[in-house]
Amino acid sequence: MPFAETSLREQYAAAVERVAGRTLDALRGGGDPAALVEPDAAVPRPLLAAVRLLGADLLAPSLFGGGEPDPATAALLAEARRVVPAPAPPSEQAALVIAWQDWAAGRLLVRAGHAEAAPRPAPLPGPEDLGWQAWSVRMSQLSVLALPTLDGPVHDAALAHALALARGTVRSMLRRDLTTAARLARWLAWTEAEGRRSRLDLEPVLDRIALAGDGSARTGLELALARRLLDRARPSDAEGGRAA
Amino acid sequence: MLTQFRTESASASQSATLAEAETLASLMVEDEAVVSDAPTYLPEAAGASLLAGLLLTSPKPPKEKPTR
Repeated sequence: MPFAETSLREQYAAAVERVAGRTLDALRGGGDPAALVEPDAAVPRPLLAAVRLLGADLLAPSLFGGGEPDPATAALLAEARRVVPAPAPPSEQAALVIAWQDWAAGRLLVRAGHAEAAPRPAPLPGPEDLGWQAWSVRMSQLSVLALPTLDGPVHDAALAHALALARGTVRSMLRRDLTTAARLARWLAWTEAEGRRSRLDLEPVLDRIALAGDGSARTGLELALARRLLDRARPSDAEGGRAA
Repeated sequence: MLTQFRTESASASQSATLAEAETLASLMVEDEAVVSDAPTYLPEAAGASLLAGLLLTSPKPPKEKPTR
């Protein structure tokens, strides 16, 4: 039960940690994220907001398992999108980022039979318009799209500008902004899973973030997803690693 | 309509809903951390520091002992 003086942001951040941790467990083979919700109890609003916020990442365990989105988790996500008010972005750029995040969740919910196909948001400006620094930060905000079976213009941009992603990752590491670095490393791992060899050796980057990062479940989820994508890119290494 | 989840009702006041929407947006679009940019190598700064260090730590020149 939250304290009276706890701000809404703190409540939401705590709920995000809880849901991200549960998703992380599910990714490691421990059930599904919908198990957070008691069958007969009312779902608290911060928890629903966290589900709405994590969006497509909530369905990552079933996607990496090679199947369709888990029905119970998809139902929870659809309910969260119905109940929680639409985010109020502070700028046009933020609105575009949220639109693409919602597009990714919507695409997966369509496959699970919980939504109707939504139109694609407006295309994002590329690194030639924004510069690779600003573009890579924008891509880090869209790391939820770096999932198997999702495909679209943002993914095409990631493949076309893998060098800018690698530069952005290194820049974030140098700035000691390891949360942004983890999200960009996830994109690089996704490009590797798509057959594009990264200019950056990702294993030490992921190890460094795991050691020196903020230790949050949300960043842990980004790292775990990046590693799973790398396993897809190098299946023999993954088998060797598991055997060792 | 989904029936398997029972959800808490929305906050009564409109401002609470707006606060929820703004908080949600701020957590969905996190900007990069506000820290200094990558440290830049400044060889002239290193040279000045080295010179100052050497001057401070260098031994004093020998003095002649006063003769009687």
